[in-house]
Amino acid sequence: MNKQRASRLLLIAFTLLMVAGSAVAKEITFWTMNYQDPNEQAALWAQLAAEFEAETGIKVNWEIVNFSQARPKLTLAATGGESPDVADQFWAYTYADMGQGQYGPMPIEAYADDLFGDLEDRWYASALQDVRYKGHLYGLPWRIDVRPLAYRSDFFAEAGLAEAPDTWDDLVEWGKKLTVTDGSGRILRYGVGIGGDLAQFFYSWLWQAGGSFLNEDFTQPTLNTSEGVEALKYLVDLIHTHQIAPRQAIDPSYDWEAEFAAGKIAIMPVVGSGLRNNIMRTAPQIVEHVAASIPLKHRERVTFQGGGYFGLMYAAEARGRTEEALAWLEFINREDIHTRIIQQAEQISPQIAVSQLPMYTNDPWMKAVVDSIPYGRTTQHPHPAWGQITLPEPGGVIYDMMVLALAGRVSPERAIADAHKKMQDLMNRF
Amino acid sequence: MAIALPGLLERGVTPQTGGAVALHAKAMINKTLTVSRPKKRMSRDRLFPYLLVAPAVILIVLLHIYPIVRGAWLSLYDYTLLYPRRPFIGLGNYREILSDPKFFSIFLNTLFFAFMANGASIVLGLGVATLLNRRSKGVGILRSITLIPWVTPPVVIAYVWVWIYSGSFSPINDLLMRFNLIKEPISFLGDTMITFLGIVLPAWSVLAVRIWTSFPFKAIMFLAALQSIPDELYESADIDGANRMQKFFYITLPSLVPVGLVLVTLSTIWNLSHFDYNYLMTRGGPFDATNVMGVYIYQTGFAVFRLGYAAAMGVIMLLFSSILAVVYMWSIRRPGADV
Repeated sequence: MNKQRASRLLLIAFTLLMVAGSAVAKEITFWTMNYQDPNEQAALWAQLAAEFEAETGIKVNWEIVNFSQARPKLTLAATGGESPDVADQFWAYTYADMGQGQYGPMPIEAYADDLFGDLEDRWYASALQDVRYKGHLYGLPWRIDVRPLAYRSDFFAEAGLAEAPDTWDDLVEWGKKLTVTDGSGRILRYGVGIGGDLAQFFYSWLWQAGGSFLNEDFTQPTLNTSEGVEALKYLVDLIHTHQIAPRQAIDPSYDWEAEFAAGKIAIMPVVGSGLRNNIMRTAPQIVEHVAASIPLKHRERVTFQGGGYFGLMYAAEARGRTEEALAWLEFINREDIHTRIIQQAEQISPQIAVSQLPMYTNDPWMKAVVDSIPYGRTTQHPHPAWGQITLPEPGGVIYDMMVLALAGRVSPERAIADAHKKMQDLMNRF
Repeated sequence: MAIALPGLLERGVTPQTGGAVALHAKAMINKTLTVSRPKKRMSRDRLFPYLLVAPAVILIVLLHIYPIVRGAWLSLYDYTLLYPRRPFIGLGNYREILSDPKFFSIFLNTLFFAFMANGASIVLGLGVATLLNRRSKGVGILRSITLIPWVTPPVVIAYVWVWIYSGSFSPINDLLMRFNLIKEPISFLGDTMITFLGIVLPAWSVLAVRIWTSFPFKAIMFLAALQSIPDELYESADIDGANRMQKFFYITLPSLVPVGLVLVTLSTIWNLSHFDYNYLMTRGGPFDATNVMGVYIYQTGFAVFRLGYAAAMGVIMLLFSSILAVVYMWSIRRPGADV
């Protein structure tokens, strides 16, 4: 009987200990998307979580979310659905507006000075555009996807071109020299490529022409201007007037990276910084001929820049875990930790000091990409309708505009005017 | 009647052992059974079938009925995931659909793809089934090969065909150019300047893949039906002097009608909700030339997040498909139906 009583007491004591323990246990949840080798990525985050727990006693329950599910999951998190405390995010403007100060990205400017010092000293200003919105700071950029110009150096040498084109006029001139035809006039290689995500592709041209998508307070579209028409007309002319760019870009299955790797395109004027890595995997025999340069200039030298940031979600505040979440955010933004993260993910660092490490400066491709960062511009996506405006497939406003104009079905003026109206209609629905 | 008694049995005592306790128990139980068993058995007998179907019913309610009802309810709201307000708008989404020219053009596309894919794959399936029904060497291997397009995952097929149709890497282009049939490579999924019967090339290209992937199922169904036709019918026809065409039209074809009816109905329903190839190969483009309702509803719901509007389109498609489903149910339930 005494034994039974003693074991019961032990059980109760153990249970109480466990309950008390769990009440004080510090835990946070963290999402990041998948980058490169899944095993290496999982090993890295497990290691980082262990190091952080050893340092702070805070356990990080991390999860790798597939990129294809990132938008729906972030959308749900910003509208009251399942949400982690800290997340790898993008489109801060959109999700901040959707969350309405209740869900989704949580501003952290009140803590930034203490935790991160002078942001301008550590991060590129172009990268900080992505996380600053309506006077708030929503996180810290950890990867930057600036779009330089890429070209085949072997084709350049063959055509007697020593350097990359610098202006729109140069591009036409270079394109003509690089376009190759057979005896019957059939084009074997185009000087200039048009492709990829056609909506993203158009951003750079519009901005280089001096145009914009939205007004300064993000309430009205500003697409239907002479600059907008000029940008679209320039692209249409590359195909139809100068015949130095392929019209297959309108084919949704068209893979311009494969065309570039196969030597059917000489210049990709606006391309993701990951192109070289992709070529290394798919066509390593030509990787030594893949070169990059800073973006083109027309009225402005500017290029589209995507990116991602680590930031807190309102869920952290609701669960009383703000302090722990901020500690994790500070940890993963430390220069040494950040370097490990971007090395595994094979991304470009938006931290100025890290971008000057030899792994970037000693590599001509990487150096050109880093040199392009100051010209990067974020997508101005401060509206819930932005996703539909820039949907990179049929039904997307900018995509449809590009396809109709590039195919020659409607004039650039008409395509721009129609797209402007569709943007306005979508924005009015909010 | 030997009754095993729980508890007593475990102790080795049964009515057969002659134990007094067991005999007493048996008498008591028999007495009880004679009074209450018919009633209990009746209620158990009535309950038993319901218990058997209950798991299936629960699953159908959870996975089919509830989503349909929820979808219909959602269609009455301006439910866009991106907007904080999601007001009840009654039939507002349906009114918008009726004034949406894109909906009608994509609906017509859907009918075109459904009926063309269905018709062509049934004709092709019947032809292949007739060939495979012959008793010759290697026919078993041929039957297996025939199934390949049907059993290969759609994602694999779609991406293989995207390359086959590519403007730069297509083996079709290579062949056509070697034989001087074309001067420049054709972008089969992108060139909307080439038309046939008023339909652009990308639509024909995607349609060809849908036919190629769907005919094996029809061929196998027809083959099964062909093999169930008694040889005696053909022997009688031979005695009567019927030729091959007469035997086909007077014996084979009428015997295949029941299977054919089911295939046409089911296949049309499946084709109306088709998504895979039209999305994977072209995302419904270019210019919505290959867009079908399955893709449009998906894009509206999950790319643009207009869930209410997508649900309303889904309800319309459900009602349209239901007409065919009713025809199907009628065809299999009418008296004398062979199916």
